Amino acid sequence: MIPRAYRYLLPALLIEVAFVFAPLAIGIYYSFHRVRFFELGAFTWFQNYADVLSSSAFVNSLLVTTTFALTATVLTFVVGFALAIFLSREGAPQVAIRAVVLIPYVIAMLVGSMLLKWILSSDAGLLSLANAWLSLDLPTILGDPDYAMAALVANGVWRDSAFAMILLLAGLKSISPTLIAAARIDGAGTWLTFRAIVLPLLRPTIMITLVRLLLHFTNVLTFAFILTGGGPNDATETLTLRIYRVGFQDYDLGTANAMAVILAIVNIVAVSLLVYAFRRRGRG
Amino acid sequence: MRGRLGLLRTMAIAPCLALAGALLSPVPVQAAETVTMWTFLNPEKDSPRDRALRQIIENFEAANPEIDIAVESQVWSTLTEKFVVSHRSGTAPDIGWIVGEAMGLLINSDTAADLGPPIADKWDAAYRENLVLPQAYDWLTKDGKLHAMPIMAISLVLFYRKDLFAEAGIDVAKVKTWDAFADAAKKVQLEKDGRVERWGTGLHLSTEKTTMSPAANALMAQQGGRLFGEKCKAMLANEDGVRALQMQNGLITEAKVASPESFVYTLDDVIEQFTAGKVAITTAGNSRYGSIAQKAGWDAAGLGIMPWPSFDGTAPGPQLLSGWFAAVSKDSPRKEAAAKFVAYMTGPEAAELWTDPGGQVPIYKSVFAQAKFQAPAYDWMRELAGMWAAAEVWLPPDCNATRTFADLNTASQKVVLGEVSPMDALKAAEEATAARQ
Repeated sequence: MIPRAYRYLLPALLIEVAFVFAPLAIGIYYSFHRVRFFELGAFTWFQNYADVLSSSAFVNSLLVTTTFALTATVLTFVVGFALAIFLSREGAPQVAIRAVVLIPYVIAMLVGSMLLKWILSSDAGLLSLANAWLSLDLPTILGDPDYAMAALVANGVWRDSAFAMILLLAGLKSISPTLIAAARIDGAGTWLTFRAIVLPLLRPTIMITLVRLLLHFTNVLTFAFILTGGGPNDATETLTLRIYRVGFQDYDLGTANAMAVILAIVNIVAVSLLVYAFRRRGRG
Repeated sequence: MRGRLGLLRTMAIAPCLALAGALLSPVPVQAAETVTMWTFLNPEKDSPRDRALRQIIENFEAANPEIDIAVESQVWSTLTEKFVVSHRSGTAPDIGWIVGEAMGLLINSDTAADLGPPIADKWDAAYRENLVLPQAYDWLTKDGKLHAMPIMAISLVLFYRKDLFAEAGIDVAKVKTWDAFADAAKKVQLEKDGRVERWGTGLHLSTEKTTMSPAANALMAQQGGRLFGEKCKAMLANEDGVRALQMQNGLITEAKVASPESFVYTLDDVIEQFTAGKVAITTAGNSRYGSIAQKAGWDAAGLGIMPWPSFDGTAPGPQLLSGWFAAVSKDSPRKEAAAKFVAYMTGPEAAELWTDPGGQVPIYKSVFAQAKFQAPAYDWMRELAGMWAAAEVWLPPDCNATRTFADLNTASQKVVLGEVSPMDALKAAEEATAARQ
């Protein structure tokens, strides 16, 4: 007989098994097989993994993903934190700005990227209008590999700063004002109060925000798929975009699953390192 | 096709009729057989093709009361994949619509029933003579098995602005070579204060949502319409490929008649820009003719189509054909009824409805012979059918060519942005295509 406490857990456990563990197990199983045109073929041991790891396209997409995820996470966090600090004060401008800041986040990710694509287009977008009106000589952003990566990061920061802001604002609001007041009475200035009171108390929220952002930017498909299509010259082909192409355009689910398993490992390692760094810092 | 209301009505009336029938008639009543079809169209909606399908189903059901057609609308971009996967899990509909680009998936997965015996094997010589695209049926046949039937054909054509060509004094009939094409594009390009207001031509050189580019067309023209050799080996890395790639890149870097941003433009992007008047010549599927004419930010009377140029101008570039096809699931318990409907949906009578109201180019010559299709509104269709007859080309369906055009676009990008030699870039493209076979 299952103890009552476990019976309460059963529905959640079943959902987790059905929608997380079972697909994960199937994905790992497929990654050891040749799966072409949705047909499960021969067991190939680690052949798919060997093919993936020796592929220059995979290495490129891994580098692109790392560059994009790290840059976007750091910038989104910084912008989100700045907004959270500014909006934690009560006032009419804060209320208005809070609503404006949330707009990119409430727009569907796909629509937001399409909007940005047309804004940044130098032929028919708002950028071309600005170019004409202000007689600027702006570069072709989406047609240049370096600027295209910057545009991709900008898309992420533009959309997800509001998400970071919401989490960090909640964290800031949860800090008791009496602690701040006590620090002030003891003669602490703004910077010292922030460094000695606010930051340590906000550490769990910061960690959750960073983990969530890092996971999101490592696994997101929409930005690269819609804004740049992975180009130009594969400069923005992220790992998820590559997995999508190999799996659903080349119909090679064996290789795609091998890449997905590697991506899952990358996710686990990245998050573990982040959590470890925070815990170590916390103990120090 | 039966709506919900119709179903309720049937449920109410059927028992009464059954009782009456049992009492009055000595002959047992035959139950209707329901054939399920997956398509991206929805006969309950009102777009031209939706209306055409509705009429086709109504006509068929009236002539074949023992068969009902139940349509289940699906998202077009994943329709073929869903059909193949559902076949594997034993939940496939009787009929599935297949997009031409994914025909290899259908054939290689051995999902479809052979439509030769119930349909094509019954045709006589006169029927075959009536086909606009006779090669399509060879293309759909592998090892003697006809995997699908064409419903509507689509080819990539060059759309151009007649009004701009007339203004610039260009005779489109003389734009036969790629050099003449670049000259024409230069003349119709509009520049103001050193900025381009309207590009001469739009190029879709993104690696996402892309299809045949000018380089691919020029290369195929040089290779007799072929892009694949024996055992599906891509024929890209050769002198013709280098010449084709240099011609295409030259449109951006030397002639400067196409935007440097072309490397991130999808086919949809350039069509939108053409429709908005930001581009004077573009590539698009002929199925877009109606929507471009309807949405154009300029006088739609100026919309024209032109043949693909070639290097020497002696023959036009290939018309790469694709389109929508109907396949019957190999495991369908209603194969006979399904094949009967497919035969009607892809036959001459339905072709007339696909043209009017459907707006599609007929795949039977007899449709053009009818009086109502002599109107000027159908001139472009006749023109296109002539282009198809002159340069009809199909990519081998058993080769995985889904991303070969993207590979060629990557090669183009590598040469312009990565400073890789054209031959090396084409070798990489060839290897990428080979890895998918």
